[in-house]
Amino acid sequence: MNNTQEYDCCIVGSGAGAGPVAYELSKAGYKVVILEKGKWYKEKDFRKDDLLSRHSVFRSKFSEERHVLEEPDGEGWSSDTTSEFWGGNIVGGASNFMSAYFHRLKPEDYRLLSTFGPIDGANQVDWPIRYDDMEPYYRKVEEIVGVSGKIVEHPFLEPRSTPDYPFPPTNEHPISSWFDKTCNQMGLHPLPMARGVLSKPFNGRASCQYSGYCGSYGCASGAKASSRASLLDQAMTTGNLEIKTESKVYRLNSNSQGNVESVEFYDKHKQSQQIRAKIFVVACYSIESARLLLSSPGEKHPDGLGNRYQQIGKNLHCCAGGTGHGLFEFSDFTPQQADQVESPGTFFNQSVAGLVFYRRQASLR
Amino acid sequence: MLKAAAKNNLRTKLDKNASSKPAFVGALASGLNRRAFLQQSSIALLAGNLFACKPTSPTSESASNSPQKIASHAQHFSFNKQQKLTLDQVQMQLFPADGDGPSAQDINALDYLQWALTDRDNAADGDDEYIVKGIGWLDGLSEQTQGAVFIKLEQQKQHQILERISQSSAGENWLSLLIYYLIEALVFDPFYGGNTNQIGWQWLQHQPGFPRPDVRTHYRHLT
Repeated sequence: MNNTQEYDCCIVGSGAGAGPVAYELSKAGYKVVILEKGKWYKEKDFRKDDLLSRHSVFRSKFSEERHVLEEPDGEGWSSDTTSEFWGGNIVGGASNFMSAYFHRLKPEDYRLLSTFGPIDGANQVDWPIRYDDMEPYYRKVEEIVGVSGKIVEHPFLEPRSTPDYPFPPTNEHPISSWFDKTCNQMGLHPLPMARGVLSKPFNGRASCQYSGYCGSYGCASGAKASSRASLLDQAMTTGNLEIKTESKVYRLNSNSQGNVESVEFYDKHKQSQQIRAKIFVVACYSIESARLLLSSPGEKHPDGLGNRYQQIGKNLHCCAGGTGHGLFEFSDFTPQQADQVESPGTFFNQSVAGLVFYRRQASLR
Repeated sequence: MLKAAAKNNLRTKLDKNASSKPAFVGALASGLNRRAFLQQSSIALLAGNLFACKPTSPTSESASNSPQKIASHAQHFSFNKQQKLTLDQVQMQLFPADGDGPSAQDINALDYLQWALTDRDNAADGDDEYIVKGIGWLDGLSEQTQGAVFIKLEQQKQHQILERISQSSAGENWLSLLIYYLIEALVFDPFYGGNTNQIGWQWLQHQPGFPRPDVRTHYRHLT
């Protein structure tokens, strides 16, 4: 069954990449449709539930989206099925479950090659755009989704067109001051992390309730700036956005000129459907977007859509993170320190400015 | 000593006395995968990352490739009476009533385990089969070396047998899997059957997040 309606724009996915496009176009009066493979859950559906990660409703399925992770294993390459790189199978995507660190890139991040020089075996290039080109958009995003933070002067602070973040920082855990003190002693520059977590109510969203279990959990107050809570809910009020849930896109069809004209997807009844639009946006996670493009060859795209230079699926970047930890002897704490450590609710939200530059300058003491 | 290790990990508090008994800490650490270190950071991290740290049984590769298991939803599974008796005693060895916090029975660990093994993903990992198989190995070794099945042994002998099976990778994996589910029973919301009356949270002085799960948002029911 084919849908004869033609949209101005069809977006595949509804997460961090899709939300801003849907928001801007629907506000500008264009008719937009989002195809999202997951369902539409709201604040009332989210619980601080340890078993969240077993919620099959938020997850992909191995049978439909198997990811295989290959790693050097000493003798060759291992090959294992993995769910480590699945995002969120839900309207708003993985942004529902993010910790919402809203760092801006630094000017140097746009020209890593020319700033720091080549790395053996790497295929780095500078971006064709600069930080200055992006600055107005960083500002816009911070204002629209509601970023909380505090500007602290430091040698690596990026140029900013506003004196501070639109919202004050979220409340800090008492032991943040320990971190600040140590950083200052080391000559580092501690600063509150910019968070996409509302510290004050905004646009019908409640502010953070400091209710624990933030990162990896859906936000029950709406404070977390997921694509869903901060952008799609707003975009829906325009009447120009339609979100088709449980709609899994499997192919984009391009014409003899090489332009995409339609998309094919399975609806919730596993029936194949088709939608036509003037423009298509593929924003369904780095891995699945690559899969979809490579699965959509056409007359002008024999190796997959947009893959003329064989770059689709290479140099992918998912959500990266690292952890470190240290241990304190609890018995060494004073009663006051013990109380501080055990204080529940608020964030430990401190960051260190410009670590990459410290490393490059080997100036860490 | 497992409890001491678990408590230390979970509360980020090191008890100097307990840390002199590292046997199970080693078993725990080596039975977990490369992201296991996350577990030691805090209980919040643990709750969020426990799944990343789950020990894998040797059967999991073939089991997870089984289309029947992938396709099916909640599995039907229950231990027989003998299996229950054995697992109860193993759990009580791992998490004893030693006066320091709740025992395995206090956190309803056996019932929790049986329920958790009906989870689709846990079943797809082959955990139910592996745990049942392990009971057979345990009784086999017990009969061979002590002349009686595990539950017939006195506590000290039981402990020795468990120490012995922890020396093999299969035995260590089996224990790690049981420990993994013991920790789930200790820290998960009582709504899911363990952590009776929040006894685990009280022991760890942990404040849960809110709102807490309820019948409408139960992960096997939310659609």
